[in-house]
Amino acid sequence: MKKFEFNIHKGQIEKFFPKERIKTKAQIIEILMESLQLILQNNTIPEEKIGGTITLVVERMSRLFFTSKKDKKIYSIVFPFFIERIDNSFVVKLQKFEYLDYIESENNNFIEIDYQLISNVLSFIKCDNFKEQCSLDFIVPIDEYEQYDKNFWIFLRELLLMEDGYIRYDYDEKNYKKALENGEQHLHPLNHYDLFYSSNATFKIGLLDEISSNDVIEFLNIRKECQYLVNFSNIKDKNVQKNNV
Amino acid sequence: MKEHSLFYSHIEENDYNKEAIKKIRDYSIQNPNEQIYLVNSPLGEKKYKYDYQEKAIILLSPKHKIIFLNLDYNLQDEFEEFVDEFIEDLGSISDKYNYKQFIGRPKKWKNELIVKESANNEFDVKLLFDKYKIEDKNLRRKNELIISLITGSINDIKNITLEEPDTILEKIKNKIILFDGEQTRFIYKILNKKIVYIQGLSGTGKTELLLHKLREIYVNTDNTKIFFTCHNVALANTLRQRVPEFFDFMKVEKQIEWNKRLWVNHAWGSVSNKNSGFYSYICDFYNIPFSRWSKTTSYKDIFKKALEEIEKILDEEFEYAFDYILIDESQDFPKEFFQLCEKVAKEKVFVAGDIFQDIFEANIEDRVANVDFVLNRCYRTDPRTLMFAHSIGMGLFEEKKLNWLSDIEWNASGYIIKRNDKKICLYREPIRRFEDLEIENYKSMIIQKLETYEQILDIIENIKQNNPTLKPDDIAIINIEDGKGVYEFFNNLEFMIMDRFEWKVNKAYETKEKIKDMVFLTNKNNVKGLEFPFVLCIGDKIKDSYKYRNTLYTMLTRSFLQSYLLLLDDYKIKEQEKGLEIIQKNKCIRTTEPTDEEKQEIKRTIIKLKEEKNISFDEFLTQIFNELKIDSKCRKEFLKALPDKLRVFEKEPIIEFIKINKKYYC
Repeated sequence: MKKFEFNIHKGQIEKFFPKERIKTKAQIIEILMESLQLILQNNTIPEEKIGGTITLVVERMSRLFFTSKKDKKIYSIVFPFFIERIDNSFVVKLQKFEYLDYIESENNNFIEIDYQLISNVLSFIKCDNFKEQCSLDFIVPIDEYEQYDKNFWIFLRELLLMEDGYIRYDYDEKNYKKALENGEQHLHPLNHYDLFYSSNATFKIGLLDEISSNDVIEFLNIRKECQYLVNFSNIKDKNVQKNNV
Repeated sequence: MKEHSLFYSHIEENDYNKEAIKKIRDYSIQNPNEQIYLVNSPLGEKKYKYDYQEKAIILLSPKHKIIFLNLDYNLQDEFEEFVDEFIEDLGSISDKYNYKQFIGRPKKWKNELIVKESANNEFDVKLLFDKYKIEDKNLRRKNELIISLITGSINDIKNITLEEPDTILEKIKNKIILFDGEQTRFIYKILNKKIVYIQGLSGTGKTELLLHKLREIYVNTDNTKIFFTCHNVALANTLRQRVPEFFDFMKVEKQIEWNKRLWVNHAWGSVSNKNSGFYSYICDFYNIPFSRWSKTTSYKDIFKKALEEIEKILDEEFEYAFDYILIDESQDFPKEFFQLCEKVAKEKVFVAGDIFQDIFEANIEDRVANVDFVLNRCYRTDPRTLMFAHSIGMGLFEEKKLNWLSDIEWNASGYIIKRNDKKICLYREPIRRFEDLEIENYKSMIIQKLETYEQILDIIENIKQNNPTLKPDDIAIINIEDGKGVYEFFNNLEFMIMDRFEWKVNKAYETKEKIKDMVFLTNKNNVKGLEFPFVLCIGDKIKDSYKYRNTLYTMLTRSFLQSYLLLLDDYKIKEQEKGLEIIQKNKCIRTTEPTDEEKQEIKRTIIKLKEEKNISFDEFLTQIFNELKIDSKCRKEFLKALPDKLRVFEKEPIIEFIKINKKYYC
């Protein structure tokens, strides 16, 4: 298992833990791009200035885990790239052969991701053309970036099509208390997972206890034994009792 | 007669006032650095008219009291009544723009600032001005606010303090804006032609003036259709944001009818939304095919084709798409665009731009001659910074000059030339915004060799200490280089700024907008129309390419207090430092005029450069390959290996690359 930890400076924490919860794929791509910038930089941050951590775990699965020091929130998304450590810095690449009928050569099979490519993606998903109704207007900036970087579209397409595998562990006292007052504590358990992010897809899985970021990593590691959902009615009363104590 | 740029008279001449106006105009010619306005009713407020106004002149000049001149001393009572009525009206204008809380009630400022005189035979302008000079700084500010009300140069009062602030930064942010003569002329004078051209260096207030013009048209006409446009999408977005804010503080009572009476958008738009741009609206309105820009279809072709299609419409069936069209940054458009606008606008087309934005533009002289208004007083940039930017841009401090302007062109860009054989001094007139700031000892332009990142942070620290009210968004850091290194540079800098100052940064090459309370970081592409108190330009070295020099010029002029030029290599820094020192000391650019032969050579180079600019990068490379006689079989290898950094229109480095690698690829 490859596991790398990158600290987030407290001044940058909002980039990874926005005030509003994540609702769109564009936000996921934005966070992924910001993470890449952070990984490429790999800055040393003194303990007192650390606001959170990004943990990259590669083990058949490949995921980023974001933990915030302040809130008990952890979330994870897929990391669809290859990473290599060279001394104290990292090289990140995208394999592109899936889309090619032939393999040009060993070297041409990878796109090395650099700051420019990342910035162009960020700029693209924030620009008006991205929201255009007309496809030809949509491609104007893509065409522009391609003049400088022939891999731009291949990279962007990968990001747009990738399965992001979003999952979040949430410890949310405020909303739990509100739910409890209305007798709806099972609509919003104190400890829970949120799966998916768009309002049509998202749902919660309640947890009996608080868990750590390591628990989340283990849960999502397919080399580790998997966990089971137990029949809800069996534990419902026990859960209520426990949380009321 | 062409008035000089600080004198403006809005009075229709008659037998009563002719003599006095002439005297004042003569005085103004003798004293070209004094701003003088002559009016007999408040400008910009059509409803105020007076019986006596033909026999009175109101003489306005900053730092002097407001002088009412009576031209017929037999009618003293009528004159008094005129003054009272005028002051009453001014009082209500002051209410309208919320000036009252700052300048107080008319009763008070009338005693402090209004004076009455007779313009009899002995009337002497100089004596008058001497007599009514204002010394007190705060009273001066109050006086300027009243002049701004009379001349319609309304300031957003939210941003103004009546007491003069302490620091230079706050002083300059708080300076009361008064339009100069040429600016006021543009807003109020009606020219008898359909297309009106305005040339103005960047920072001369073009956009602001267009907004005032827009307001004039919008308020004073009914049911007219107006399109306000420019080439750049980001700028168009900013303009669309600014119009309602501007209308709001200008107290426009009419509701903005978006996309019915008023359109503010960029020049193209998309086919699916007719209101998304000028061209898309025209295509929809005249039902003509929508073409799209591509590597093979230029904007020029698109506009030409559109005009041809519209010309086919029979006269009796033709309708105008708009009444008025306003265009900003017109230098970005081909002339075909203006022809199209002229065709589809019923009343007028106002075209504002800066032909000097490209300091290597060929044939400027012809274009200057066709301009109706020349704004050559740059209000944004400290004159010393502007002089230095022009100098480094055109290589004026170097042995071999990259450009040289004709006298007419120097004048149009605001320079006064003093010749001593081939030795030349170029001066700029002082600018109100920077007057009285005591910035003599304050360096507006600093050039340094850049050793470490820390140096940039130390400069910021220093600026911060000298300006306690400094906000992060007062600083812009611009990297003028091409290539991937720029992005890495900014990411590192972002981290360091955040760590040391706890400031957020706005990477404008990603966000394409200005964001409050964040340090503005950008490459050379996203600064159009923006200004900052402090600008730090970072580069590798002073390269000799025309494009690079032009970028340097444009970027350095983005500041209104201080520009830093920080370079990794000290190539040619010495020459610039020497020239800069003379600018600081003598307030002029000291240089030598190229010989006629050299001038010819400069011209030829520029013309050739312009031709090259019109080809694609592939064609550009092909030309180089042909020149170097590279076999067509091995060109592909070169293409593959050509680093991104060299994928720009710069010949020398590419030639060098090809020569070095020839042995591998051929």
